[in-house]
Amino acid sequence: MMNEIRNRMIYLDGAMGTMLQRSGLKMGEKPEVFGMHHPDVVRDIHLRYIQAGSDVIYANTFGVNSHKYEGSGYDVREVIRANIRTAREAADSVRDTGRVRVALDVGPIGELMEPLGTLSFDDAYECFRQIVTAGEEAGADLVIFETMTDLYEVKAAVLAAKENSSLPVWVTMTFEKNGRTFAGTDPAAMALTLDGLGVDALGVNCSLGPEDLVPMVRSILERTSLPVIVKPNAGLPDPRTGAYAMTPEGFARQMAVFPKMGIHIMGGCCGTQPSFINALKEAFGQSTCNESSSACPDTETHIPRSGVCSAARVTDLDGAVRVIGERINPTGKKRFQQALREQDMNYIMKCAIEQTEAGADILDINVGLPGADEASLMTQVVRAVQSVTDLPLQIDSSTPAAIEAGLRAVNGRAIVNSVTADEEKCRQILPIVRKYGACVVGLALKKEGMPKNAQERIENAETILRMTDHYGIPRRDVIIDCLALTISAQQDQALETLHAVEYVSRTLKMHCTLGVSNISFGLPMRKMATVSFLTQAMYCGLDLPIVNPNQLEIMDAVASYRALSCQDPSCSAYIARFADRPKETSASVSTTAALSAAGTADASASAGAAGTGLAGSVPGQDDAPIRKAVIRGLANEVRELTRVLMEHKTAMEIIEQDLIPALDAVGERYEKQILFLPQLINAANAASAGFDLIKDRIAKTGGASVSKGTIILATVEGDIHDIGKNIVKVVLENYGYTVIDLGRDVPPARVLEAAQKYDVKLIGLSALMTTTLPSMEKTIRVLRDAGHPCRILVGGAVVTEEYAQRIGADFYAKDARESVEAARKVFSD
Amino acid sequence: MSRRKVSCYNTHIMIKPQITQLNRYEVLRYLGLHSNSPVLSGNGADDMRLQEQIARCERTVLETARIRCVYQILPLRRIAFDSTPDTENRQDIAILFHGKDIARLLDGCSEVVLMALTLGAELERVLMRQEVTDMSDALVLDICASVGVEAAADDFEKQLSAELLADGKYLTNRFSPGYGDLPLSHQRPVLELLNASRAAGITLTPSQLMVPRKSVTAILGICDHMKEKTLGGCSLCPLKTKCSYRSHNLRCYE
Repeated sequence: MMNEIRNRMIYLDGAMGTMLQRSGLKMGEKPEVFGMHHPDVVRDIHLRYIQAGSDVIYANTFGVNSHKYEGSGYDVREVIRANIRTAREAADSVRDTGRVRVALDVGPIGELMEPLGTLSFDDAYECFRQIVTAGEEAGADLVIFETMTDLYEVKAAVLAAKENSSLPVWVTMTFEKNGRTFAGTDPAAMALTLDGLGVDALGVNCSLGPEDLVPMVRSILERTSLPVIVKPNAGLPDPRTGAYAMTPEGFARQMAVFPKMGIHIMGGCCGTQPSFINALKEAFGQSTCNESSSACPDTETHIPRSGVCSAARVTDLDGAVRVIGERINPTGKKRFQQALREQDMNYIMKCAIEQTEAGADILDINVGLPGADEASLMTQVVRAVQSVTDLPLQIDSSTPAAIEAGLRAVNGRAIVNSVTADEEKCRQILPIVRKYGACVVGLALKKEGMPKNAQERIENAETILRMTDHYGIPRRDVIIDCLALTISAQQDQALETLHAVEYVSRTLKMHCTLGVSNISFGLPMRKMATVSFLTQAMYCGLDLPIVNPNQLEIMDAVASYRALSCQDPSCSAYIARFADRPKETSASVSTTAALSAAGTADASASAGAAGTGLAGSVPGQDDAPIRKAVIRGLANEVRELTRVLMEHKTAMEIIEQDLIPALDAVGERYEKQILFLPQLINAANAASAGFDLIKDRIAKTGGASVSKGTIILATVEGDIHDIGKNIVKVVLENYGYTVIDLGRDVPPARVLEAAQKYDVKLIGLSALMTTTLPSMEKTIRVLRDAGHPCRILVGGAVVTEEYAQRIGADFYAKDARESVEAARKVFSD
Repeated sequence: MSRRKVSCYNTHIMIKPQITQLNRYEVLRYLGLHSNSPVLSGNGADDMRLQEQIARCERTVLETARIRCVYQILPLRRIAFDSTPDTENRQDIAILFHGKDIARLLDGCSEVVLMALTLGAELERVLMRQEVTDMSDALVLDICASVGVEAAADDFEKQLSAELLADGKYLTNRFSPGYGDLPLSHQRPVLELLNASRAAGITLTPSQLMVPRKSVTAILGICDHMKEKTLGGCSLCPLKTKCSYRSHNLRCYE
């Protein structure tokens, strides 16, 4: 059937919902249930579309899924079976048997996915699996996922279909006039991702009229050579009546642009009727663009633009330099290892945000930690990172299970880092790369050992290329790493690497990556050697350097190279980057600059005090510089003052004598309404700058933890408002407690599981809505019934002291301040 | 014009609510400023920093919010209440409302406006990122976004009411599922009727909360006379037992 699509026009059908409403569907009634009870009505609609010329009819199954049908009393499989049967009967009743195909029509589940919503990827997958298997059993010829707005939901759908059925998979998404879906998906990102996942056709439907969809269709065509589907609305509806004004002829006139662009699959969405399909067929007939017009693109030989993407952002792989940020990696970083071990996603998310703001184009994700479950950490970290950045990701692992976990979790199209020039490795990893349609880094290395010169690197690259060819991975998606080794150990290799890069990029015409920072390992003033090597390597053809984007000099070098090599038209990015630079003398004095920039008289006074070693507090003295700095919320100052104090005070002394009393003073002022909540949090953040420094020091020296106790926090099941809980978390952490944050919408069983796992003494539960209070009560009951000895603290907008007592909580906190009091009581016992 | 006179839901004017600025007093009120402490903390430098922080967050909301709004105006006969007989078999009924409050609101009205609007997923994502990088900004931003979504709903009401006034018609108070005795479970039928997930990207969690969170639904009546604004006030508010305004003998809406 897919071959047929390439060779002739395929007409889809038009709207189903409006036709059903006209045929007696009541408001609030589920169209699919109506269809089950009135198969004759639905069959008649199908037949009218078939008579009008539809080659593919969409069964009346758009809204059937286990979430929407929960509590409806209807079985999803049964409803699907009935409606597919009706479509099947209509399709099989035509004389030219086999001309008309039946599509299992699948719409969005109707709930937003995590992280913005509460629907998990696995739930979505399961939901789609059930639909697709039911549809295939019932006799559908293909499955179409349509009107989708979230690329992640589409990914769950496509994987569910491909892993559980043999039906061809079509996908159309719905874009707003600004060229994005409601969830922010970009058409180019959609095309890259779905082409990679191996769908059979893709395109757009709904939301706009034909004319307005042209830019999105063009953007999709640029990124794929798959057949593209266009199924627009009959223009825009009247906002008040819902009526569409466009005529069938007007619709066909606007559609005329698409066959010229190479579109073979067309139909109509909201507001269209059989007469619209008829008008299309009359206007364009059976022949495809390739026969009828010489002006149209040749889709067979069209090479799509290569790139990687998140759902919202595409990074082109076109030979221009793109920076891969290396910071999400535990190697040699104690603090990062600790974050991974404690599953402290906040720390990792901060690393992601920092690199994004520093100008990275792609983020490398490495979570390899001895003794940890790399695959499950990979899933967790990928999801956390993509909740705060829209940069495409690079999954950095040599373990097939972790690579697959990462690729499954990625929303978009990723790079896999890496395979080596060993058949065994390639056999394990390349099929996974192919399945998820990723790009792949090939390390120019064999298990026999390091290459000794450029020639061996090139031979390894060629071996990798043969392997990727074998597995059907296009050369434009393969990236070679010619290995940068430190010159402090193997000085002669730097030039060999550069020669190899030059050959691979110029002669083999492949992308090149390098872990650039390796070059200077073990040397003083590493930046100098690193930047110099980076510049030379970029000149030789390195287009995907893996570096630390937070180092100003590195990004400066990239900006300069882009300007010098015409990758930065009119040097505009260069100018924007450096226009204000001379005003700052250099990066190394930035902390002093920040201090004076704080600008208050206090700042200079305390900086002076810090210099003389008087930064700390005599117990009870409120005007010690560090206390003042905390109260004012000046994080940079607190950090500097803590640094000074650490020279003659222990970690515990600084915490007990300086930071905590300062926070108490802030709390008191907040209580008296002298300070407001943002200022309280600012103070907590400022104190945290001091705490972080102390923690870093302890992590480095391996000293005892300064934690005053571990507390679990969770926003209860059903509630998605977690700002209150997060404020409590910041404040508790800055009082020295370790907080395990279970997030929002947390089922009671997960709270219990965590309580047992971490053996905590205190659990804080939050709920904002009256409607979610019962689940707070239920959580407490689950903990009590299990006999867990923890004490429970509750809070949230609608929680009262009375209610807290009634549901068996031990403490009620009306604000973050009071939660500290509760923690003190629990941990001083 | 003559067409508008006949029935306002046949007009082709589409209301697009906008927000151009946020009410700073509202923001401060959410932050806990009561009218008896008009000058924040009284410490100039601290106040200035807080005001700057608020201004920064207000800008983010105004720049990031992408307001999407859907609404429908239905004749009252298409709305059913607890007291309406034989709702099961009447095909023309668009929605069934439970509770006394909504029946009282719509009593004597000729038409009913159902509306849903959101500030969009873009802002939601910024809120989420801010909670990772800076909780203090996240709090102020969250408050600004809450003020923003109310402001957008106010603007919708303002535009619609100006249009109606030309026809000699008036709007009642704005009401939402979850107010008074109108159950929160009415969110779903209202959003479904408006096709809000497809047309505005507003979805519901299984616990009836809207995502994006900064979204509102509203129900308003259209009347040919000015109706006394009976609803509102503390009696309907779930926070009435622990409200800090009430404890200061103040009211949040004054």
